[in-house]
Amino acid sequence: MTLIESLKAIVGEVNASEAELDRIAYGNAKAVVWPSNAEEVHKIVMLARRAGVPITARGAGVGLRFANDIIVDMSKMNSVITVANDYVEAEAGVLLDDVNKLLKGKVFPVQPESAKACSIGGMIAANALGIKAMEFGKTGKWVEEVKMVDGNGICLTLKGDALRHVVGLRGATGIILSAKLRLSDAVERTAELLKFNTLTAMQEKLDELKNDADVRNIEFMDEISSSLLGFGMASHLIVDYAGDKGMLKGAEAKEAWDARKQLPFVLGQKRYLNAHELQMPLESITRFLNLLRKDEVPCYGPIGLGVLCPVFRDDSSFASRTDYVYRQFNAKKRKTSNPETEKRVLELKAHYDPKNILSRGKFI
Amino acid sequence: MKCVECGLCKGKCPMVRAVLKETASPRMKGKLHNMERADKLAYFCALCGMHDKECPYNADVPVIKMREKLVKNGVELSKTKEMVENIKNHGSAFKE
Repeated sequence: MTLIESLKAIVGEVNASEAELDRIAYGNAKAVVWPSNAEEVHKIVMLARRAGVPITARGAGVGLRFANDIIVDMSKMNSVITVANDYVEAEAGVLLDDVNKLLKGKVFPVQPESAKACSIGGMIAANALGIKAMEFGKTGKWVEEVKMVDGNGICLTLKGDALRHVVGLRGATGIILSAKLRLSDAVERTAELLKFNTLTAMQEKLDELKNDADVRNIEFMDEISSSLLGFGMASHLIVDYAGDKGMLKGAEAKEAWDARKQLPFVLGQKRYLNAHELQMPLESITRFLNLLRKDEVPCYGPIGLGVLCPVFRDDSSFASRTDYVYRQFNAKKRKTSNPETEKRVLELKAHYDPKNILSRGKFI
Repeated sequence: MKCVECGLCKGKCPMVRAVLKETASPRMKGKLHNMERADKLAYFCALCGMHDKECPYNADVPVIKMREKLVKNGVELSKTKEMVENIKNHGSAFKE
């Protein structure tokens, strides 16, 4: 029996394919398989183990899109299991947008820009960052429990500290089946849209805001970004406050954040598609932004966390020398993989996936 | 603007919601269009316009033009041929 025949024997004729169009759709995959339940995922992993064939789980494909493996598309595992007052439990293939629609008076607070299409499993695997990251952190902060099938084919439930063995590891230790996510109260914040004619003035205000206990989020938009959003040719900060401190309330505050949510796409329409996520020391921010401004590179990001995202066009000369420039400013590019993560994944792999069949090449 | 293949159109596409496969997605059609490749997959679209509405980049995934190209090259589905004949002969795509 060939591999594809074996896969079809597990999931049924129409749920496994090596047809050319399916392989193209999944980024030059060797084959694609669409499991419907935990038992099928277990059998797929056991088959891959026996055959020594790498497999990569995939959610909605809005982050990870390319893998020259057998792709395990989790889209058919799309049931919301429980919606309770303070948590929701859902299968990996459920879209965040579908979860949002079920919640009343509560929210899942991490809302990435891809919220309309991203899946719960994908968000956990990538430890996705949302739009108000300073207040809510990454997805992992809100994960209570994960059920997964590891590289040994064992179905596990991870909780507490053990969640570090799956969150953000891009499927390297296991295929996420379902997760229990904590919810937050849907609290309305007041906001302020602050305009700055100089970056020095912005930096001074930023220092002040960092010491303000009522501040929940600080988001930066440079001149180009602000101008494209219709805010005028000046740098801006959107500041979220607990309580009534902000001038923008209700719909007005929402409008400012909605505009910010659109920013990556508005920039994309101008061919600025290559965003770098940088962790910047606060003292370097002004000098760095001045440099970007000279090269007309737009930049935005949750500056309250010290994170900035310059965005480049493919033909940008600046993009070719970023590594050198970032070193000058002690800016760390937030990569999927770095030596520390690789070491940690290697240790975890020895336990969860000793044959290294899962997400091979993502880290090791 | 050509499709940047971000996939944000997928969540609301009725074809993707029905079959739950990337192959059915507007992104796949955008990918084929970017590859200048004509394929019958262009018929796998409800023409509801949702992908145009949802695309945050206002990208052009011209499904009807893709179909037009297929027809010009003699590639048609038997069912669409039947529908054209029905319209000609009975004034209704469904012969009723």
